[in-house]
Amino acid sequence: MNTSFRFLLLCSLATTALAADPSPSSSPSATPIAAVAKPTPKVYTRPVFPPISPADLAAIEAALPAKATAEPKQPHKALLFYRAEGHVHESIPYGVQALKRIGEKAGAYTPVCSDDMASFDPETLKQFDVIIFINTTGLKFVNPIHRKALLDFVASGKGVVGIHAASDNFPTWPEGQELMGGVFHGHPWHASDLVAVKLDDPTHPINKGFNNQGFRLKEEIYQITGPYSREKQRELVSLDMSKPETKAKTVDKDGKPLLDKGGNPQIVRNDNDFPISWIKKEGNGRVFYTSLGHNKDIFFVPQILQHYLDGIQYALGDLPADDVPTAALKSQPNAVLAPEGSTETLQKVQAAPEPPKAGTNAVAPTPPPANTVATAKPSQAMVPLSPDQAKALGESSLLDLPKYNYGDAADAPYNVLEALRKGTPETRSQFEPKLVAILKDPSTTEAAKETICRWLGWMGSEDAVPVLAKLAESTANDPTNAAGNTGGYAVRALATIPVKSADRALVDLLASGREDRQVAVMSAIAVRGAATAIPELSKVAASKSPALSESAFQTLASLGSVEALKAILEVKAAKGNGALKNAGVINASSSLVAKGTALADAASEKLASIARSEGPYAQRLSALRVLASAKLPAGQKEAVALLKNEDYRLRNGAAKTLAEFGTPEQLASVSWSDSPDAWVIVLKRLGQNADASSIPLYQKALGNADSNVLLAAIWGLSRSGDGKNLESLTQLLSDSNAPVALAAKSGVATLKGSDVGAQLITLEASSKPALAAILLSILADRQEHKAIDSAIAAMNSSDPALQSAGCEALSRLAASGDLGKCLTLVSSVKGRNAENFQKAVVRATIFDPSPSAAALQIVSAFDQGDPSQKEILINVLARLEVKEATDKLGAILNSQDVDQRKQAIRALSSARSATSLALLPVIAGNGQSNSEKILALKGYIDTIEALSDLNNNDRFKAYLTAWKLASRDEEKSAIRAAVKKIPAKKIPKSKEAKELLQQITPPTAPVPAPDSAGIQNPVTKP
Amino acid sequence: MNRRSFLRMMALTSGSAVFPSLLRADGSMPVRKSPNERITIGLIGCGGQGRSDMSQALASVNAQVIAVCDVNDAHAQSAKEQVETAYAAQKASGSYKGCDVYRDFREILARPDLDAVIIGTPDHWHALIMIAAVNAGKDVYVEKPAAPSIPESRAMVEAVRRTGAVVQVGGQQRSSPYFHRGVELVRNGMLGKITKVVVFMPQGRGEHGGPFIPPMAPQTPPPDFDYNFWLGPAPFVPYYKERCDWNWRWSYDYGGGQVTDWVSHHYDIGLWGMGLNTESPTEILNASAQFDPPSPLFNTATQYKFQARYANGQIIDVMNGTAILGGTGTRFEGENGWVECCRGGVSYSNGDLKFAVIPSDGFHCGVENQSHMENFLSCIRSRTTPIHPIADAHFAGSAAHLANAAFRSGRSQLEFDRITEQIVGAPDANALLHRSYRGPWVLPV
Repeated sequence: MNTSFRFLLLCSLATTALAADPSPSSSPSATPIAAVAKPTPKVYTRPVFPPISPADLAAIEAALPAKATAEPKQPHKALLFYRAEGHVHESIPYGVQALKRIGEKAGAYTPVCSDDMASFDPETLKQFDVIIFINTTGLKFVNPIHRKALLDFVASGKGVVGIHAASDNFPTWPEGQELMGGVFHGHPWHASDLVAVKLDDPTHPINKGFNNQGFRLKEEIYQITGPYSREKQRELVSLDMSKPETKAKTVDKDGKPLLDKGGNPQIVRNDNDFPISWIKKEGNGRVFYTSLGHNKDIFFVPQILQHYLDGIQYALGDLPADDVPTAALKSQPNAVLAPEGSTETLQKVQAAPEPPKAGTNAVAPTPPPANTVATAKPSQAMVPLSPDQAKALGESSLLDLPKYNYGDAADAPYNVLEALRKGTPETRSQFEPKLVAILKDPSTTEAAKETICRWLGWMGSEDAVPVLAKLAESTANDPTNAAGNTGGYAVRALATIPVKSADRALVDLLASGREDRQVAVMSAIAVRGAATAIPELSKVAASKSPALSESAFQTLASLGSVEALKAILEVKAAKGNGALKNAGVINASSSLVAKGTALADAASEKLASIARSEGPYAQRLSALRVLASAKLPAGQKEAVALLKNEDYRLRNGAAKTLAEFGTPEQLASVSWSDSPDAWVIVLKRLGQNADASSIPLYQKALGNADSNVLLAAIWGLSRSGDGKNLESLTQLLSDSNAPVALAAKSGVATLKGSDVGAQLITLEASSKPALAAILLSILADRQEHKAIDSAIAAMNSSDPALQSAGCEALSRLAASGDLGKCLTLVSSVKGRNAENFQKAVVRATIFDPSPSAAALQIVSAFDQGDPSQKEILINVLARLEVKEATDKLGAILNSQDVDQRKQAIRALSSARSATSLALLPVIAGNGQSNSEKILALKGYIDTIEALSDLNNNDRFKAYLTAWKLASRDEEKSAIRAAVKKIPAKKIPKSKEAKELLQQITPPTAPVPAPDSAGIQNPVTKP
Repeated sequence: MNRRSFLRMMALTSGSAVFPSLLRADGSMPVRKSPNERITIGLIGCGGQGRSDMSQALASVNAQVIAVCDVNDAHAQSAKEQVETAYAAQKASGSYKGCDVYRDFREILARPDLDAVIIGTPDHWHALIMIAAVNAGKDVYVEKPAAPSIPESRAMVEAVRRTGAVVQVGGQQRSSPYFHRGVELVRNGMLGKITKVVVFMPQGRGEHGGPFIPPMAPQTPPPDFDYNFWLGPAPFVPYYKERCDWNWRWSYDYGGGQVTDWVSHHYDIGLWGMGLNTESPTEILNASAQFDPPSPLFNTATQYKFQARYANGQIIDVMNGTAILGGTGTRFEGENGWVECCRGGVSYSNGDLKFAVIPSDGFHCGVENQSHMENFLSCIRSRTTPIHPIADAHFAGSAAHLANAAFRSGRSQLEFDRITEQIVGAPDANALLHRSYRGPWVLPV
């Protein structure tokens, strides 16, 4: 065996398990809690087929031709390719087995099975003499190397064979479809239909197996469209449309054409020609196709296996057979029709019935034929080209590039671009002169020129500039004028081409005065930042045309330099274009200020005058902001003046400007109480920055009567201040104005500072109950764990509100190590505080270093404690998802104490936890009394609905369990109502879901029978 | 475009292109808005996303949608009907007419009674229209990504700084409690020192992300769709309906593929969590991408991966793929565990993180339970910065544009000068970072 072949050569029904792609592995230490399921993009995975039964294997074996019709001219290897990216035929393993054994037994070829696109890498493909596509579907051959390899393979003298769904491929590759010789367009004849078949060329060598007789089959027959034509290929076998049962599939009972789901006629051929097998010459090679191969038992039919063998030997070039296209034959052969009035089919042997589903099958499924040509992993859509491969492909595509038109297959420009993209600078410099030459050639299409301009725009050199400049001169940017667009593309290329001389080229273009090109040229100048364009731009800015003037001012502004701003100021704007000049001044100044460059007096004076003018408010505001951001006194002055403007937008804008750019001293100097709205804006804007220097301003504002000002000041202070400012806020906690008190509470909660917590604890200790309650809540917000003792102390207060507040704070503060403390309080917890207390205990347990030990502590507290405490502790146990807690609940549920049992059931029902899900159905089924069962079932149903991170499979399993336990109408309606709320697309396809839906839905109209072939017809355009 | 429409466009730009007059015909000023008056809104770009954003405004008592604008009449009509149906439901009479329709964004921006606009156009129009809007004194809700190139989004940032407009970018994850949770856990130190940040974004399916389109002859745009206007500053290419409406994003002429489409979501969250949301990367590393298959219409990257490094040394990993529980999202790994945020929820490595409570004085992303649109509307009144500022979108977007420049020039590594916002030492990649506008459109600085 030649060891240069990297792969095993023989197929085998190896029992090595070949699973589908492994699912993404989870990190072993992860315990994800929230289940989030999202669909992943579709990637080809090898299907897992059920094993072929021994009886069926024997049936295939019995149907094999005994020997080859023709002596092979040399040993051949055949690639048996079975990759189905679309519909997966169940008969694929049968087809592969049959074709494999045909070759082996007759010695006609050595079969190699694969579903890996890497088989079409030219170096791999060359070992084969024929490629057999067995029920492949939806192949796209996205990799241009594979496309070329396949076409070259046949053109060079080798063969391609297509079986059945092999005509349902290459939807985006016309040449591939052309190669196969036809495209699937629906199958009006379904797998269980009886069809009559005729031999169009009875004496043809490839029809030898049919022994000069037409016949019938139960088989799915395709309608073939696309490139199929009797002028290109030799038709061998086709449907016998003279037989009524076959003809009947084309029309309905009223004789009208049958329609498909979309309402279109199923039959699109009007020539009554429904070919089944053909051959054709392709370059030096040959193609054989037959649509027979859907049903498994087709592969038990000796005549058909003989047909395959002869077709393959023809494709290999071993069996001489006439392949002149049918239409070109000097005399048409006389077709042999199917026998009259018979329903007997060639299929004498039935396939074994469907084996049981994988889950119940004790025998592990035998994998499909081993992928012996493949690389280690199934490949993704495309194998990336190496730079050398890309270069070679790009070079060959240069020949096709000049003819490229929009809408053509994009292989040529794609290949060249990939060559450039992956190429070294040397490669690119080799390509460039060729691209430039193509660009200069008048016969090149506009589309190709435009495409080349795009590329030169990023990889071009100085050499490209002259030709681009010349192209840019061509006529206007006008979509009705193709050459004009190319000019636009050339300007775009000059905008970005990374060479200096493009600046000059663009300035010259601007100067040439082509009005309809100038705006695009100016845009390009702006992209390049070409400072040499300033004089020319100034000229254009003075133009009467508003469009040109505007563009010129904008371009100057975008240059962002002192010279550019000076130039703008010196332009004498035409009448009516004043606002455009103003915009230019503002924008240019803004760029300079952003860079930290000082503004010339002329500029700042202009800006101040714009701010003062009666022009559009947005422009005034922008001018103001630029002045202020430059820290010019005029900025402060004009802003303060605008605070009194009658337009609220100017007032607000001025306030915001002062807040953003004013110093604290400047801000303090304004008498804000005259303008409370502006004051609020300033305070809020300052507050965003959380800057301590604003604190005096907030403090001052806190003395203001206006409540909006107060609220803004509180917010600002809380963001910017620290522990030193706490008192200013806490004294507002009891303010009679509710929004103010609330804002103060929020403010104290958010105030940063390491000493704030301690201050609040101290304050709480000396506060009256109302304030103490608020402070405890804040301490819990802040997660100040040290306040836990204050919270516990509050629980002992005589003031009920403070008691509640203490317990509520405890429920949010209890943490690791606090369980003991909490348990000592059990006996003193009363009434409505019970729920918070439960939360506290649960929290302490969750954060305990050992939740198990914590749970045991609770169990022991339960066992030893007062009866009055048991209810609370049962509620706690129900909320802990810890084994020890669950076990204890189980024990309680099995105990003799009715009250405790009922309490446990109630606790589980309101906890709605995973523990509830586990325990409640048990009680619903085996509870010690009817009332307990009913209670448990209700709780169970509520739990299933409430658990948000339960996956839908489990949810339906649980509902089914509940349904089976339900004996009363009330329970059944509750389940029905809950299931009804689930959207249809979330209903899983599980057995439990099906059973449940059947049970809960009253019988209605019968469900229509599915299509007997069970196959969706893919629609492909011919 | 033909001469007639060219002239018409010139007429529109005369005198008031950039700063259309805001005085009413009778010269009076708009009256002060009382706090109870609704903020008036117009929608520019009435495709699926634009109308979805508008539906949030329609549902708000703080807003009133008064006009819609699209170069595709059918879209504009759909939007108008949506507005009228929504408001009719609130009226006793059951009918409502009061939504004006425009085709040209400059006309809707000239409305003196319009306070704010929602921009739902394709990416290539974002910069021009947003800048025109803020120059006209409007506040803006602009869809993400900010723009398909760094200079354009920089211009948007500068325009907001210059005008003081209130601008919200449409990265709605910034208002999502799931993403807040992840960011807050990180920023409050609950994960300890962060060792890794990984962003999973979707891969492009089909042809570069778009549907498989067989080669076919160019089509004729329908008469009620101004295709030339739709193209705007993008280079002229023949019309295919398959390339307009949603699938434009698979062409670099209008967008940047999945990378730019998602950078303002999961990548932005990664930056926000790490406190890097106000700066650009300094480097792109280990960039690789596939562009397949040859397509007549689309050309963006199908598969991609890269790393972005920041000035403090932090590296963010980006790839197309799915996070642990099968979704795309952002994953923060730290000494104390990991957290992962997806649109469907949050997952944690352990219970301590799941049940951890963020103290009120810690870092909080924003007001809880406030919708993205309500946040925008409330900031309009207070003149403060919304939760997804334009600067953040510019910086997050920069990583995507740099990555695309690396992919398209075949480079695995790039260095970025954050001051000049140019790529250093790779003129080809730097050229790809820039794009010029087709006449007669000019990018306002």
